[in-house]
Amino acid sequence: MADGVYISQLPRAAELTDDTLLVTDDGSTMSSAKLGDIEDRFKRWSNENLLDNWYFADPINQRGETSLSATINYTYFIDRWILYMAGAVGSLGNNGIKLTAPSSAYASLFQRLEKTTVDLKGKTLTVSALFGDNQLLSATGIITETTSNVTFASASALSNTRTVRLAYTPGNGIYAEFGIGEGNTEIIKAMKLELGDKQTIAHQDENGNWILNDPPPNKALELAKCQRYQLVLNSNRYTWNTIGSGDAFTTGRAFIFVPTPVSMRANPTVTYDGAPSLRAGNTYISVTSLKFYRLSNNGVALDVGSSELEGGKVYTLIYKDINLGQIIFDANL
Amino acid sequence: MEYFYNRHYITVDEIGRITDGFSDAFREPYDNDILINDKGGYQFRLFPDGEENPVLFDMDAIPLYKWDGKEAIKRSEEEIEEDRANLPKPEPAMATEEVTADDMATAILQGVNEV
Repeated sequence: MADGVYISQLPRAAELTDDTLLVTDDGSTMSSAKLGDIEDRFKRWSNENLLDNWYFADPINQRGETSLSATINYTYFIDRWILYMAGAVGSLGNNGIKLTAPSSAYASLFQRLEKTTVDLKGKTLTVSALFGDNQLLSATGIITETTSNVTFASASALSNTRTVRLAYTPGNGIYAEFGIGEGNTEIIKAMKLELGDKQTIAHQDENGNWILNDPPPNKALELAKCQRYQLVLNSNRYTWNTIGSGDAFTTGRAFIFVPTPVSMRANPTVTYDGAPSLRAGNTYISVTSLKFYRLSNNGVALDVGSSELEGGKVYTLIYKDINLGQIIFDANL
Repeated sequence: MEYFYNRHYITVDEIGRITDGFSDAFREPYDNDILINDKGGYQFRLFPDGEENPVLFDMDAIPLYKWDGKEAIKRSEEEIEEDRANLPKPEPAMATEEVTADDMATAILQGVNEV
């Protein structure tokens, strides 16, 4: 037998110094200091985050609303995240999203998953949240196949002021949620959902504060992931912004093709505001309607209603210089 | 969190052709719109397990589905072709090329750059 402390007999931490020789069951050895180094690396290990747009201190926000007061129970806020409960207020800040619940109701921010309980059946998942005060909350659970209300994992702190949850309800599907109790205000910095029974969103420093394991995410990658679910055109409401081009089928309809940066998840619902125009040369004709027409992997064709178009003539869909707006391709869940 | 559903509606014309379909996540219905699903998801579906936001028209803007009073069904080829036959006839094409060619020739002879 090799001299030293067998790892299989740990914990005997009180006996360990940096010079203690640790022995594995097959007889190989390492110093206690080396083991500490390995442990430190494990603490900083990070699994893939199954949530999109998880870094709330600098999130993808194509709609551009830095503050949202919900008037209905379910309202999309930043990309992929829904603000729950009429009367709740979400606002973006340097340290995360500040969420304020109505005085008499629970409020939350949650993300619906595309995967179903059939896809994830039997998988162990851990959901975690890091708060603005660098405190952490996490919960682990196993997904079961269901068609009714189930909470797979849930944890609360500070007398239910803070809650993280992984759950299923009909209509929502599986969702990961951060919630706060009535009348409370909390700042949340990041959330994570990952395979396995341990959280890897953060580790503790020597003062006990939780530090994110991952650097802020690559914004180009997060934007691309989000644009699979939603694309906001003319998000900055620029003047003379070209949306797409096509031709007129009749005097009242034009088909306009709009290239998309990524393939969209599904046929989107098209909404718009402001006053887009169809342009041909120096002529600008008002648009009266915009509808989804066809989805291809490189773009979306719009059925654009107007008047006094010339059949076969090429038109460009633009926001000119008055009543600027946005067009949203919404393929959210 | 409570159960969550969206309601899905269709709009039909005077002969029952479906001319629009939407989820109340995006807009409220008008009086004549028909509720087809009160336990739907965020995106509109014409059929419970069907495609989200399905295409409701062909290339000539002819409706592909109709409402029979209980459910949405596909319109027959005959019905669609009948609609196509009744489409407004396109206006006669202008003899643009001929005129342009004549004008162009004249313009070239006169040393004009733009017609």
